[in-house]
Amino acid sequence: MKLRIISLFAAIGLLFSLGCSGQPAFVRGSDVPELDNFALSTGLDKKDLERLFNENAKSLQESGIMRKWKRWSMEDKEASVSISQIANQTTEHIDGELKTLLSKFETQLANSGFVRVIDQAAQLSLIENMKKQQSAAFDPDNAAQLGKAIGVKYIITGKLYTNDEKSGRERRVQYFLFMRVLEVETGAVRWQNEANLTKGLIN
Amino acid sequence: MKAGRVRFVADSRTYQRRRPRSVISVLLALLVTGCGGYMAKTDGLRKALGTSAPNDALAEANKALGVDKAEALPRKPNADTPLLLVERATILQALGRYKESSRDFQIADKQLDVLDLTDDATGKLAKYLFSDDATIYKAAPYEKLLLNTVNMINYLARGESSGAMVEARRFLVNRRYLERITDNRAKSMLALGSYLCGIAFEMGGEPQQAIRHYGDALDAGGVPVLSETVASLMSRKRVQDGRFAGLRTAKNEEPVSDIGYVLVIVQAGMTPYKIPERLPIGAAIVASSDPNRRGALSPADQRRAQRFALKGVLKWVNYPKLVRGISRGTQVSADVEGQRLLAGVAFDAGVAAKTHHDEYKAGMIAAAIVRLLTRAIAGGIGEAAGKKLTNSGIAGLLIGLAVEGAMTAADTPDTRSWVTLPRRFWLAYGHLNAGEHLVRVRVGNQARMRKIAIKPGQISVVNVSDIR
Repeated sequence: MKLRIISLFAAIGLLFSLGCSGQPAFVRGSDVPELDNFALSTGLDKKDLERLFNENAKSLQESGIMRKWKRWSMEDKEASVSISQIANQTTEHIDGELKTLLSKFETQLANSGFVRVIDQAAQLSLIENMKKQQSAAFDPDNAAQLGKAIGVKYIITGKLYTNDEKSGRERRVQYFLFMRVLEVETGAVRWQNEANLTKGLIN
Repeated sequence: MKAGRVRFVADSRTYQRRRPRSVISVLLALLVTGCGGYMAKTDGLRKALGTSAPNDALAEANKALGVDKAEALPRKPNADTPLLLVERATILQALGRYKESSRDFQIADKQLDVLDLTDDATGKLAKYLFSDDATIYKAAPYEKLLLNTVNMINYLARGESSGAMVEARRFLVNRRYLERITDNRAKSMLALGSYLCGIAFEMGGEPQQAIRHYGDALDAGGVPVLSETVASLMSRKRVQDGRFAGLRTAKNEEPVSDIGYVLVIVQAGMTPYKIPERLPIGAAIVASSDPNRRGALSPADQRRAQRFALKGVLKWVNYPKLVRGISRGTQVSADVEGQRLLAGVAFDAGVAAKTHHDEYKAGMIAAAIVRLLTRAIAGGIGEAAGKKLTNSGIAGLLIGLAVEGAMTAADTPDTRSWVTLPRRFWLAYGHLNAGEHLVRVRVGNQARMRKIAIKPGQISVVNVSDIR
């Protein structure tokens, strides 16, 4: 009988020690290759940003306007392009992530060698003014106005919006990244594409 | 004399048998009362904020979170951490530290679930009220909606329309969800949130969206300065919504180029909070037996409870009682350089807290009784099982007491709620010439001055929440 009681307490002790032994540890992505694959929230992480970026970048690469820019480049003419901003129309505070996305786009365009990308920092005050009226930046007329003020031929704008649903503890956030190239002089849309992805919290 | 001796021996034996039980009971009682729960943990910060001493309240909040500064987050979060972050965020907002306040609100918002008692069986209610203070707090619907509303103020006060619109969208998602799980009375809590959503979208340059939110605020009962706000938006942006058709013809006016707008938000008083309350069993049975109340005691449980009460097994029940916070009446005003702004109460969180509590009060007491009955039975079962296992009366008794003790500890009422939430939200609105101005807010006999910069055609938001 005593043995049974001792065994019972020993089992409880073991369970406690197992439960308390899991200490958190810091790791590097290079040491844990799967680290970037796990979704830790319904916000956007590096993998999500890459996916949204790649889909839009691929579409732009294959677009008519890119072919035009390449042709101009071969004729020693260079299109000047500026990326205004990507408006955050989501239910997540992801302005930092959107800036990262914007920088990736800008870097790729600059490195393509086909266009002259106007540095955003040089237009900071104008951009700040547009930020005050966020939706206005996506409006073709206002974007064209901004482009004229900066002195570029084309301006790239975008908006990220969500469809967010909730039921009990479960939540689903569908992200849509909509991007377009506007011709400053005419306000005409020369390219546009929408990439999407879904994140969720399920039981 | 002989009989007296016999009686004395019997009492002595009883005393000897009961001694371990008494000692353990005293220890358990000390343990239970020692862990005063959330109410005791937040007593200091609640009192400090209640005496309009937000710096002291912040120090208390950091202490409760186990950190030494407001920038820090607990290294080992526990079940109370999300709610304590909400408390600290509210205090930080009162101190005008809006960025840090937003961060705390956002962390908490992702962790706090909404309490859904649509299909409230007594068991579910009991779990929420008694055993769940070991798990993450489930916010009452009005608290969840106010979390987004109050965080929206952080962004509006900084003039950050992008962040304010994100909070507005989060408010909408929660509103849609809560509309499914709460009844029409919940609508009153939506007016303030919808109005501020309108302000956020107006500030963000989306007037059409803004007027839609103002319309939602009207549908939910409206707020005191709604018509002035809408008339001003309609005149400047030429937007319209069918719900304001009458207003458009009556108050539409030509825009003036060098005029800007100010919205003053005053959050004063302290919302009611919960304390553990001991209720005599007789009164508890009466209070929980109304069949028209949610989660009322079933007739079978009423009979069981009365039987146990008559035997003297049940004497008291513990339940979370709602007590008054601080009410500041209606003596609130805002003026700019002598010009009085239109003002009024937009939302009374105290009424929302009381309505929510009253709705579940009978069910809460019923749940407490049912838990106590279960405890009494489980205590007996534990004793019997222990006896069989050990063949020793004393060891069996100890195991039985351990079961009973565990149930007693589990029956500590959950006193968690958003204790730093202001009792009332006032709104004041007006138009001013572009330039710098001084806004003076009076709450009772206390006053605060805030400097604002008015830009033509734009809204500036001033928040005052450090006078409680």
